[in-house]
Amino acid sequence: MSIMKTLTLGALLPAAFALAQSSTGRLQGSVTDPQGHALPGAEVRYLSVAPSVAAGMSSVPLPGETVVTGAVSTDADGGFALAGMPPAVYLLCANVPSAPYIDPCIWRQSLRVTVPAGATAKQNLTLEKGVYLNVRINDPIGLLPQAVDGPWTPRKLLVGVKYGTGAYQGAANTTVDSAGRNYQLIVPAGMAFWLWLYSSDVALTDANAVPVVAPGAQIPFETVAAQNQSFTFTVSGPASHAQ
Amino acid sequence: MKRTCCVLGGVHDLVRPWPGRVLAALLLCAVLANGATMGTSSWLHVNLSFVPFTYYYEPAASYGFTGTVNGTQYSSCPSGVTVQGCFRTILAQMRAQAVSGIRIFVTFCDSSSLAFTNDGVNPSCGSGYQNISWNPSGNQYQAAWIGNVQEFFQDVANAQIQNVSITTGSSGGSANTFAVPKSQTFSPAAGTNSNGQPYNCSQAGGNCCSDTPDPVYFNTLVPFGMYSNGTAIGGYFPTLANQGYNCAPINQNYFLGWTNYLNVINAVLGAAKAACPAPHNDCVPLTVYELETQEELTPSFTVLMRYIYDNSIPQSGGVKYPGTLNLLSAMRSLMTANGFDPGRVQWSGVWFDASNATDNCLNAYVDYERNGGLDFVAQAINGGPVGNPTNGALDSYGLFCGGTASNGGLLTSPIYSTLPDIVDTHIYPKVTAVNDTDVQIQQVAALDYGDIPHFLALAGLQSAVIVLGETYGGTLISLNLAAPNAPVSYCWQGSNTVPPGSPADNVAGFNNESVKNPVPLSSYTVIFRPWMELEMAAGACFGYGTGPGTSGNYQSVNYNGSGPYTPTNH
Repeated sequence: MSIMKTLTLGALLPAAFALAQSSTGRLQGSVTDPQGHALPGAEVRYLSVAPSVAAGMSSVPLPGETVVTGAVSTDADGGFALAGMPPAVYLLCANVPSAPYIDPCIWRQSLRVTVPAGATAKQNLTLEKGVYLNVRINDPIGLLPQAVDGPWTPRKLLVGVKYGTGAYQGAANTTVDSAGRNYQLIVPAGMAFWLWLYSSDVALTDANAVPVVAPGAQIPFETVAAQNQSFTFTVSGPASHAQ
Repeated sequence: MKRTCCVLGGVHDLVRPWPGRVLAALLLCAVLANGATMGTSSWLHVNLSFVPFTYYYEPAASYGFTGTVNGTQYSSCPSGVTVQGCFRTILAQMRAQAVSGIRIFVTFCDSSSLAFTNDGVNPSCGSGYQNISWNPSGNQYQAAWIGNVQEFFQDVANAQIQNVSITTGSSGGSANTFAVPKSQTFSPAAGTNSNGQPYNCSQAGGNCCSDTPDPVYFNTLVPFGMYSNGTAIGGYFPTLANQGYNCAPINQNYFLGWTNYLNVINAVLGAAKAACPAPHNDCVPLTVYELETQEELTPSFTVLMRYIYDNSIPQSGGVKYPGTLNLLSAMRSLMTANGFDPGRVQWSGVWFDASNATDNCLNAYVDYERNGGLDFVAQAINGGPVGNPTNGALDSYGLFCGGTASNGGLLTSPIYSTLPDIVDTHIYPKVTAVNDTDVQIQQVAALDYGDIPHFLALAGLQSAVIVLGETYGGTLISLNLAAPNAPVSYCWQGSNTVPPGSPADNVAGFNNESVKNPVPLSSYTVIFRPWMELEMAAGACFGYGTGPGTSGNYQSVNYNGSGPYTPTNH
């Protein structure tokens, strides 16, 4: 990362807020579902696209370029407004906390909107409804960590989904209790997946006590709208191999 | 006392497409202050850059060994000296200065190091992995190439330099770059139409990264699509997501293929193993100190994780759709099979500097963000979250600070492995201007090196070997690169001068780093690995064989053993 300057605009500003300077612009819009229903409380994230320069296989914004990033929550009507934004092309992502809407930046593509100086750009976001994938791992013999995975927790099990021709999204380890662990991921509805279970430390059996293939099990399934998908597995012992 | 020297070598962040280049003999000049010995347990290795294996017995001047500095082209070996002769001199000079290890780039498809040459039966690089094979017993060109690799390793062993670090080429050169219409490219995340066919990158259902250009450029040695300038597609700043691993186009038709890749790496390891056979007369058996397929991984580009666990073209490594190829495991197996430590398979981390030299902050891993490259490598290997957290933010000086790594928005790798027993970070303590004082530079160096023990504690790597894999050989390379269209100057006394004491200050800061760590980095076993230098006698850059006022042509990483990079171990 090279020389960059950041301006974080996190506050929802009132619509009547006048442009303080003509050198900046405004961005406003709404977040709805495909039926046009407002999604209050959605989190809209934005980031400006700065001219960049190659640095190895990576690229970094040109020295002196401003990178503006931040987030704003939609109001009761699903609307949002941001003022004082440096003119630039912005990328937009959105998700709804505690509801299974699909973040376009994860599953599709981020939206792009140009915010001009002294004017207001408008961009609405439509979020598809997905479903929750819930995976329960019973661990009666306590071979898995007894705490929720953090970034430095030595992994003994990965849970996620594969899709397309090799894409992968990991499920978050949401809770751990005395009898096992829970994982969750929001996935699009009406799509084919492989549930991915990876462990070189423990062996797993499915709900019928059938061993799953280790170390990387791929279990196909398809999601259906409005139907959350759940799986349960049980740790049956240490893995029979070491990797 | 100040002494002068000049630098020869490939350069941090410049080791990317050099069309037509053989060995980049960039001349980097420095004025070094004599300095103290490094740390309490230190070793000195040196970066040598690319080796033109295909032309190992050809005149050096005809195959690279030249570089342009401030518009002037220099030759770095006298006319008539072969590539081998040049390297033999360099290696001897290095060993005389207490260098105990070298790092080289081994390319497979570069015109100067062409491991796969068409012999009328087996096509060359770029022909698609299905059509290429590594078969030196049946291909005279492959046999010659690996024979030259072995001869180079024998020259290293003869020079009594025990350790060899290998970075395989991330570029096959422009001759191996191919433009493909976007409509003919596909991502791992592509959906399928009613006929079961995947959508391409020009279609919404292709789910390609939003910054995918048209055309997409593919390189023989890179498993993903790129821009024309060689930058990877799907970085965080062009896309706001961390989905490059999933959304960057697949190199379906031009990639060398992982089986070929691994086979040739195995051959290179075998050549290292075969150097200096018993009874080891006048040579030392070699150790592969480090093996990496891609240097300087950076968290804004999760697609680089394909070099560790490839999800895009695993079939080229024998793993069936939609599997993930565990390249780390495969490379560890090769190291073991050749008698080397499998824990030395590693990917180096890039170091982040702030525009304000002393700026620092914690990131989502509760680590200092300057360590962000190391965090990415460790997390990608151990199945942790990678990328830039959506609830983090750039601070005023360009560091990505804060956020949490556990609340979504980050990508995770589908496989986990134990971490390597070596940490390689490329660290150039930030120097902002020529008038920075020695004290300022030492403070920044101490800050940088002080962050590393923090990372080691978080990752549980206190027993690892620490390699400062690229650091100042006497110039501000990264700053030069950061200035768009600026003339690249590698001379301390050239047009883009920098404080002459920086290498010594670099080491002094390392030695003095103990403020915030109960176990400072200088108490670890640390390998300094700066870029090679050529001695400069009178403050002006010169190429090998052309220097004024010298009785010989010296190569120096440490001013003939008396500069700041003097290790405690030889």
